[in-house]
Amino acid sequence: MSEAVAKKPRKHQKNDASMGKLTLTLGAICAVCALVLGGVYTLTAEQIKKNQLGDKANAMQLVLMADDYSEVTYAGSDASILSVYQAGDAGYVVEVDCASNSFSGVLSIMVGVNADGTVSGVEVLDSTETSGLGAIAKEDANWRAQFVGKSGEIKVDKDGGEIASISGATITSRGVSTGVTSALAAVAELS
Amino acid sequence: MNIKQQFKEGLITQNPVTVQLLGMCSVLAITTSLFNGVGMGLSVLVILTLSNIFIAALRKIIPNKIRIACFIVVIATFVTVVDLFLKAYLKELSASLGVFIPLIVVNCIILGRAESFASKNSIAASAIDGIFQGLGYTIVLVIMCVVRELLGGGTFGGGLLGEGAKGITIFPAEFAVAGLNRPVGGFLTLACVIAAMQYFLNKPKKKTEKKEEVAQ
Repeated sequence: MSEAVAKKPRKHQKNDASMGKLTLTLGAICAVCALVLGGVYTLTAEQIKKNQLGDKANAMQLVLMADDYSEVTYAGSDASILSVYQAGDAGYVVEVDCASNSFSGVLSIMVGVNADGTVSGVEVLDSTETSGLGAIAKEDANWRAQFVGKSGEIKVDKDGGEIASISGATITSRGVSTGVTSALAAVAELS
Repeated sequence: MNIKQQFKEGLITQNPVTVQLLGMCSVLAITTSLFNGVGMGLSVLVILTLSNIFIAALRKIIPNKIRIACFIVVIATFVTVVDLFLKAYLKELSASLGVFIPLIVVNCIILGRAESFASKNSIAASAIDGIFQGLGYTIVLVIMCVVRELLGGGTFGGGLLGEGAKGITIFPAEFAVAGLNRPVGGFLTLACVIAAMQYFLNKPKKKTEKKEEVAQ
């Protein structure tokens, strides 16, 4: 009975498409879209990379001024340390990935460490933290200025530390603090 | 369907935000500075127009059963294209809109227009529909941005005008209603905009009704 209904010819060709045709059509559309995306990606990849490098270079200048930055190999076990640069005699600049301690997935910071082992500056490179709450870490230079001069283990006020956390964004504040602590530890291991 | 009618529908009588109530999430979230509003509005306009054109062109090929899947693939492609171009050439805008550009994929305006218009009309009509619906969206965003920025921060044209692109200060920030920059302010502003729009949309009708009554 049901087979007879299914075989009944329909007027609308659109509804009549077989499984094979459905697969083919969707596959073809996906293939074309993938090609377009591939093309655009190749076209823009270089410029995007350049922008990111530019951001990184700016952040390095902001956290610890130096004429020249040379990358040094970090052999420690802390997986959140992305790269370490020696900033002349001034100290080190460390790029830290705080994603595992972030609120919403992406959070990377640049930490400048003076030769005496204190923080010279912190910049947020990339974050997807909530706009108006966690994003303040990236936007508010005054909040990040709290880290300057600190050393050792850095904690937010809720955990008994000295960093006033951003109201409504304790997790982000904690993530940045942990990242700065890791950066200090990494530099301590090097020198 | 003529252009004049489409223009009127897109901007006023069928405005995607204030009448169809679509794409509310981005409207509430990003309307904090003029730069964001204009950037988001134009991004949606471009994506909407492109996806409308392609869906209209493919409307006879796409089988009915899998149309939504096909629409989403086409829309997602254009969103990613725009996202990549913004990241490469307008990185300030990309940074300030953040996740809301990729989220245009699931913006109901685009899928709504694909389903209700582009899949049933010619390429030219769909392109015009995309432009006017996009303009309607942009205009509401700009209105919301101007209101929220002015009352919430005392500035105008944030991200575009003024010293350091922080906007032109109209009055000091201390006198501003701080909540308007927050999501709460977004809801309040949107409610006011929709209420005002509905008032003006319904006004002429009442007048004609009254006239009819008088005539009787």
